[in-house]
Amino acid sequence: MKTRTIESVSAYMFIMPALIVLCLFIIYPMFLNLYISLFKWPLLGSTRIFVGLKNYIRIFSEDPVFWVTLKNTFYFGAGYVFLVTISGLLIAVLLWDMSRFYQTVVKTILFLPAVSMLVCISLIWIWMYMPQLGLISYLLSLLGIRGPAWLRDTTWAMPSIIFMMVWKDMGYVMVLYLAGLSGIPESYYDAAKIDGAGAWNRFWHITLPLLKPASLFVVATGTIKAFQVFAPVQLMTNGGPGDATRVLLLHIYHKGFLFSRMGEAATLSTILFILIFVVTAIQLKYYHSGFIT
Amino acid sequence: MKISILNTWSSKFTKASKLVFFATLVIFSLIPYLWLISTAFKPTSEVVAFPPNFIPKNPTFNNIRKVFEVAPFLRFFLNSTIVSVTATLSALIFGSMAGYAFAKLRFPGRNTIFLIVIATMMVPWQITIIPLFNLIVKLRWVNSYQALVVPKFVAGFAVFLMRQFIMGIPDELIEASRIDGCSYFRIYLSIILPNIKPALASLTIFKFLSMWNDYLWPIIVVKTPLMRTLPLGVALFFTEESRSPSFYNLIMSASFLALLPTVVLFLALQKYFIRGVVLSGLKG
Amino acid sequence: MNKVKLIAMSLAFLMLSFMALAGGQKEAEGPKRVTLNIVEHVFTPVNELTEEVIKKYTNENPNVKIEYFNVPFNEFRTTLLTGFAGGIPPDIMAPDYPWIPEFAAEGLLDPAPADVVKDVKENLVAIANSAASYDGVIYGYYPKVGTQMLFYNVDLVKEAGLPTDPEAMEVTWDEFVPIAKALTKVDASGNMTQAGIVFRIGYELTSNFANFLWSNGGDFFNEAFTRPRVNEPAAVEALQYMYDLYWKHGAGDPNFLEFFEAFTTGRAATTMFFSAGIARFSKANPDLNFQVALSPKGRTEPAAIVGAFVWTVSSASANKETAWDFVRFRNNEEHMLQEALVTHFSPSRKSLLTRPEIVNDKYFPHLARIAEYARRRPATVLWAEARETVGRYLDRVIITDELTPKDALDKAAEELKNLIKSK
Repeated sequence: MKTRTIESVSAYMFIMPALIVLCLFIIYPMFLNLYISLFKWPLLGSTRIFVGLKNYIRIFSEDPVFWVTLKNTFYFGAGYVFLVTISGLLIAVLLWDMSRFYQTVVKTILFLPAVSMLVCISLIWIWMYMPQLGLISYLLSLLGIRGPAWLRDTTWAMPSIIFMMVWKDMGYVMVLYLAGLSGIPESYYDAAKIDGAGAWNRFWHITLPLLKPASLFVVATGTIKAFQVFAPVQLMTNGGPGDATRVLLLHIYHKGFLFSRMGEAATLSTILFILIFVVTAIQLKYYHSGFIT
Repeated sequence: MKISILNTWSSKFTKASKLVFFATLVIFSLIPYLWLISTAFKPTSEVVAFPPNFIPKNPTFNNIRKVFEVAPFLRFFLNSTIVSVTATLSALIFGSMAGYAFAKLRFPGRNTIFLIVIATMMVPWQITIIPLFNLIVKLRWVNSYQALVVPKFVAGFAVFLMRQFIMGIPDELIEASRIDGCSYFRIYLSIILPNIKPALASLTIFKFLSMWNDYLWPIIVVKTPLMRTLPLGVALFFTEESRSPSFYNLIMSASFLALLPTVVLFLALQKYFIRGVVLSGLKG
Repeated sequence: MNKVKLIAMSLAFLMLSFMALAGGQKEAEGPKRVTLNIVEHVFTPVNELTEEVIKKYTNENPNVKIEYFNVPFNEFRTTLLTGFAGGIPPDIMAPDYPWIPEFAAEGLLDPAPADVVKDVKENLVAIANSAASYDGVIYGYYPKVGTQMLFYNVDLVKEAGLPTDPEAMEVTWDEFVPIAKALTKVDASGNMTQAGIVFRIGYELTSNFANFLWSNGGDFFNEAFTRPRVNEPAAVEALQYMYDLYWKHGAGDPNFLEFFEAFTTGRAATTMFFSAGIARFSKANPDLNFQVALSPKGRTEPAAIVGAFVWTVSSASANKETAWDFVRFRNNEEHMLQEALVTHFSPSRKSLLTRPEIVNDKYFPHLARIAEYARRRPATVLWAEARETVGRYLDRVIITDELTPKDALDKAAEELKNLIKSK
């Protein structure tokens, strides 16, 4: 009896520090966020007026920027996740049967951007994307092409940022896929080979399905990451030109900390949370229904 | 050598064409870094030269020197180190302690509390910047190290990761020490921690990198130059006021200095970095 | 055993670092010592002057300790807002004057003492009074008048065979078109190598637009700030003119370099920027030979939107008297003159305008003429947001050519209407 009590008390002491931090800095802010979203809550001064759901109504009906940021968030998310997954997978599969030496070299170099500071990466790419003087303009001019002013062009600004982020993260995705590949037992392929399955068939029917846990992880975390993209858009375009690269998190930051509208910013945060939640849930659901063999 | 039929689809390519492919890929990955280094060491006159020369004709260390003159760069470095090291240590300690309790100890409410911990993993902190800032204001922590570190002490992920690994430690090992009369804290120190070293290493890398590279939270709570962390310090060079023809070589020098430590660390511990990321990724 | 040590040391490190840092935060305050925090945005000539003034002041007042911070302009607003919200506003700050209404409306600023008010009213130019006040109350000193104007590269104008004096550049919209075209160079394959004019982007474009808008009899809001006016015909016409310069007359190209790089490397013949450009452009390229003029005018009088900063004191400061004492010292006649000379902003103290250093300068006489048409930004608490809103739509006309001027301004007006409603 007594041992039981000691065990419980010790356990509570073990979890206490973590629990306090989680409650104070994650759970409490979640509810505080909901609370703030019901108020007209300026950053300046102390006049806080309860407005009920007015902030939500205002955002859905009177804030055209919100819909644009929503579209941009999905645009960035879809473009980034799709490209980074495909390129990571492709590179991993091609790299798989290379010798250890090549694997190490390629892994090391491709992984380098993933550990580099995003702020620095953004600044390098701003300089590369610069019209007239930038490296990309120069390389294109060798081919006789005059490129657009990448980050100042409505059509190209978002793809430019996506491209940079894919460049940054594809090595990371590749490493995850390589780990996934190493978990596939060779016997699967032996059996397939005896059945006479072609290389493409084997990739499609054996490798890919067996990589599904890795894919789920890459897509799910990639999506969450994409929904929180901030530093590149803030530094490279600050949402422009026009609203072409304005994403939800940047909109939240501006509303709250630049225009002193904390209530509306909290409302947008709640919406972003629901969005992330729903998208993740759909991915999980798809994963469970689509693949249990 | 893996002469493997695993490689199914990729075996369609000849080795030569693959080498070409990977050579291109490696160059593609490195070009921005080379361009960074090239610009960082160019004198002003060469920065805006067109067509650009990849290798500076008159390389100079002036820009690097100027970075330290223009801003307290070492202080930024120190701030980042303090913030990242503290948060990493706390995540390791608090995470493994809680992970141990959830994995190996029985106590009322264990499953419910663990479910709550899992639920917090669904909430990215970025969506709580508004209330978090409010909280920091109430605590009177604006522009302090506490504000940068304390909210990041430990996340649900660290607890979860630790629990997963500690679950893998055989109960017999623990029971044996129980019989020897060890306290739970002794068991935690002498059995649990030594057995989850790979997990600790993995969490260290994960947490350290995310703290070291974070930009959004510092930009909200930091108010004075001397409190800036490295990402904010680098961004300082990219403002309208810092514009000049030597604008970009100075920015690139600052970026170069900011990237150098992590890059060197990564190249030295490359194996652990990659393994760490895989471990935290696939277990989590 | 080792593990225990390691953990103990880690914990000790945690505790120690916090104790050290917490200790470092607090100033060891002696009995009579007064500490003042001052925040100003980054503008090197001004920062250097302020540092010098601080040194002088603390030498004369050894009991005062001053902590002086600079923040880049793009972070300045957020820094002040969150500083106020966090209960740690600086004692003294020099915010952009359009923020004065916002801060003052919340009671965050200390109204200026009587002698400062008297000095501002009697000895400073009229715009200094209006820029530093909200609802009839004066909140501090506006030491230098910055105006948005046309910067032009004298050498390139000469090369094009045009007269180079500022009066010749101060023309109507229609007259400016051939000038801008003559200053544009295009290579054999049709790519621009020299721009006739380069506008700015985003919310900065709103300031460019303001000069055109006002010089055509338009405005952003009605006088009571209850209704937007940005989609009235005068405004649409102004935007159409800016659009035409780029897209019809080909005198500018959104794919070209940004204004700063373009102008300082001699690749842009003209651009529109605030007075700070004189110091910044010269610093970036000491050989650049440029001059300033009023920007082209529409149907009515020329206009120049006013920029620059107000020295003011936080109402939460514990040492308001000392703070105001420093603000007076920082903005006395001598320092105002110095500030004018290092920045090439017009001094706001009338007595300085006749000084030989000012009268015989390359730029000041022209700045004085431009200052006659100076106009302050709308004195509404909504300005920061309105400027951004309008800028987003200007981008879509001038930079990306997605919307017609009329459509863009209609949409901007709609958003402004909602902003007004929601405040």
